[in-house]
Amino acid sequence: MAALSHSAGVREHWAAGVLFAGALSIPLLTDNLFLQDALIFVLLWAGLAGAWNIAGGFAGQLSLGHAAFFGLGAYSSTLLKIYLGVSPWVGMLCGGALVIAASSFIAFAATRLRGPYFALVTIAFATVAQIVAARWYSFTRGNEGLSIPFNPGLANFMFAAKLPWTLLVLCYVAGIYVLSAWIRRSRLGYQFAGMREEEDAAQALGIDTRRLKVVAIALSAFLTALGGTFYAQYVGFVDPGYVFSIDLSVKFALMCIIGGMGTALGPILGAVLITALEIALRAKWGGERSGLYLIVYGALLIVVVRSMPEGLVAGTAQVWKRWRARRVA
Amino acid sequence: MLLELEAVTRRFGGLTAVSAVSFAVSEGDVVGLIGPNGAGKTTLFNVIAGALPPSSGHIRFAGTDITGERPHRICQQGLARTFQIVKPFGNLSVIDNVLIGAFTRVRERDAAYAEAERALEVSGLARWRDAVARSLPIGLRKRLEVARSLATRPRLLLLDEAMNGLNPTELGEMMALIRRLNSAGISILLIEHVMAAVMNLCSRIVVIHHGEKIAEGPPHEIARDPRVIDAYLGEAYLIE
Amino acid sequence: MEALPQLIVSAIVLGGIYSLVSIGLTLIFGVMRIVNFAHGEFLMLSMYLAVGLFAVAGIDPYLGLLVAVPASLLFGGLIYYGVVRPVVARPHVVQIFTTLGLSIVLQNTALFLWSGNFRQLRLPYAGTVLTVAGAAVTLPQVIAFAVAAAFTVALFVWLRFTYLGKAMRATAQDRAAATLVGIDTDKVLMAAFVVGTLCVGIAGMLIAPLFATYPTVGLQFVLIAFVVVVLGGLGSAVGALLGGMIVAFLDVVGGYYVGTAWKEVLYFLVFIAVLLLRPAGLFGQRGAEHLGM
Repeated sequence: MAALSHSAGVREHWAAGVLFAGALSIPLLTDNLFLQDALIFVLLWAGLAGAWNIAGGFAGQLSLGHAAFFGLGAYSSTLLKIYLGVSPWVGMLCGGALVIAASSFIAFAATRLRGPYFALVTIAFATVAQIVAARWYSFTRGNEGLSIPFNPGLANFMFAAKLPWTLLVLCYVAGIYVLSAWIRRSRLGYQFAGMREEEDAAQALGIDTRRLKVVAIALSAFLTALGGTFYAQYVGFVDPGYVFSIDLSVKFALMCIIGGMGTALGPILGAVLITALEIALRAKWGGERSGLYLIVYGALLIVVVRSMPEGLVAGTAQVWKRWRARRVA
Repeated sequence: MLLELEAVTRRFGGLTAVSAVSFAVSEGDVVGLIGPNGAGKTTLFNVIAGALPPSSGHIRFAGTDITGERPHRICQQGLARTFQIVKPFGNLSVIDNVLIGAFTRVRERDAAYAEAERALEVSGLARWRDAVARSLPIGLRKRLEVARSLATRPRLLLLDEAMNGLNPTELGEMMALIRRLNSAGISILLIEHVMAAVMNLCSRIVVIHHGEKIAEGPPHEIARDPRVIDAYLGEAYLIE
Repeated sequence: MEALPQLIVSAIVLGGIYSLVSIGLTLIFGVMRIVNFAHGEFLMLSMYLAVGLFAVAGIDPYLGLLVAVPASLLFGGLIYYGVVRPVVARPHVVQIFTTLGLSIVLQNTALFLWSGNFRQLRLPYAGTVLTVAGAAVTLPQVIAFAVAAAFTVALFVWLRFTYLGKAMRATAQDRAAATLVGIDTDKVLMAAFVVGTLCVGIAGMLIAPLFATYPTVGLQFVLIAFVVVVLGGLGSAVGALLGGMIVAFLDVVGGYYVGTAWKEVLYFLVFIAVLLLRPAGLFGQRGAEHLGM
């Protein structure tokens, strides 16, 4: 979170506005189902990346286990629907509440552990969730997963056409963007930044880092769980091998790192880039030769994190500044 | 008495770093804490500021027992501290660094900004307002530490070797800053090795050696105290 | 309780393997303060080397150690210079994601080159069973344990008595102080990484006859290695040894009573408990987790 000048903030909001308008226009301009589907996923990942960013980018709590919250959200609404007939909207909020409770465990770990130690606990946490979901066959149908019956209707959180899904997920990611932008400029955001940069100094300046970690992680977890429910409803199927996977956890973090961790726009850009890359590579080399795009992924991660730790948003801003300075001189 | 230490002891396993240290700082005082390296001064600061709990003993601040309180609570009560090895928020600008301190007292962004600007003015850092903290040289970083703590509106400021590594000009500026803060009503407890500064600024000096307090008194007395000369100062400081 | 001797012997054999894999990880962490998330992938590559040598040239993995040792040293050196060294002084987030990225690259390179099919190296004498103290062990198991044990002993001796070994221990304790006494910490860091890689390079050859080989097999072992290393104390070789035995016992005995399905939960719960209650583990440096190191 470099010094946020007013003009940089405004530029960011304009860029976000353009992206959102562009996103909205796609279902209106094209009938291509593949594109619309891709768009919905891009927006979903953007929202999830933004959710991770609140704990990871702003507050500096680098969790590699956020899939736990995603999966818990997905399973909560699904199980409540299947066993108790509860509307997925309500189920979504129940999942959110459950996840806030679960996140307190991670927050506790965050107050005692830093750096790689914390990352390891988060991985273990998500792995335990995955194993439990996979083994508890009687409850979760284990690795077979759970299907959600297709029953379109607003109350059922299920739509036949793509447009309502698109609008819904757009609200999700826009909401997270606005929240992130607000946090960044608020007292909370500055205290997050202090804690992230130098935790001891932040404490010495009167910041209750323990409480802040709980807030950051709970908020981040809640928003992630909401995305989990959306995913479950949209795809109509949940299985532990995917929704709790470490691949997902890494993906949330990766999108933020590549896009820019401390900004509101960064996660969105990261999500767009990563998803576009995935789709392009999978299209070119998908199927048998699977894994190729992940090789590129991994290589990208190594290079970007080393040379542009601020991510693309800040990185390109710096490049832009340098280019403009050269033109003037 | 603004700050009272009562037989404060801190042990690390078999090592007693601070042993039954007692002294007080009155409102408006500038008190110096001196002693050889490894004497336990920074450990004492850490205990006072809440970064470490004492093994035994009590600490009272403005009448309230703050023994074992967590650092942020102690700062909120008006006791701020700087670090011997400065810890600026490196990737943030100077003003943002101080702003984070200001937000502890003020919730509203504009008011906090005003507070931060004031702290920068007093500390003489207004010129570097928008510079990124990690680009600052050590002299300015030391001042930033002070400015940041200043924004939390402390009644007592603990300065840990604030003069360490400064050139003569910077030293003079830092001493002037400390005097300014004191005349504005902030009490100061400082750890220092730069004797000229200590003798000049402090109304009272506490001497620590091997974790124990071996002397306390006004500068001219301390300079003549044989135990202090033996342990730390050496003959050169004898004022004849 | 007739199963007990069998359980114990199985656990000891497994423990030897877990220890060897984990010692490499703890060495890298202890000296370099970097968590090598790609550690499991190094093991996986070594296993594929064993499978490849056997399938293509009929070379026994134990003989193949002659290839694996220099290959591991070379590979470790290359990875160190290309990937790890540039991020040694960088913040945690950079280090974590660098090794994570490396893990992703290696996993998927294996997937790309050799497909996801499970391969099993079946030695002609795999079926030879020996009876030790009332328990049955196959010959490959015995050899695996023997070689692992021998190498571990050699490693301990090396750490204790050679200059480089002592330099590594010194650097692990206090890097700044080590430079002050004239230790070339850059070389020491490289040595730690390379030796750590060597450990899994050897381990891979030993376990290829015992476990299936597939691109993500590393994940399974590295998670166990993390449990071992955290339990034993990050940076402690003795801890990795003890931790390896303890986890192997948990694995075998736990698996017997709770079933393979739930035993993984068991050692993850142990892992989380250790991290939260005594992050330094049995022999690690107290307070290290607060420094994030």
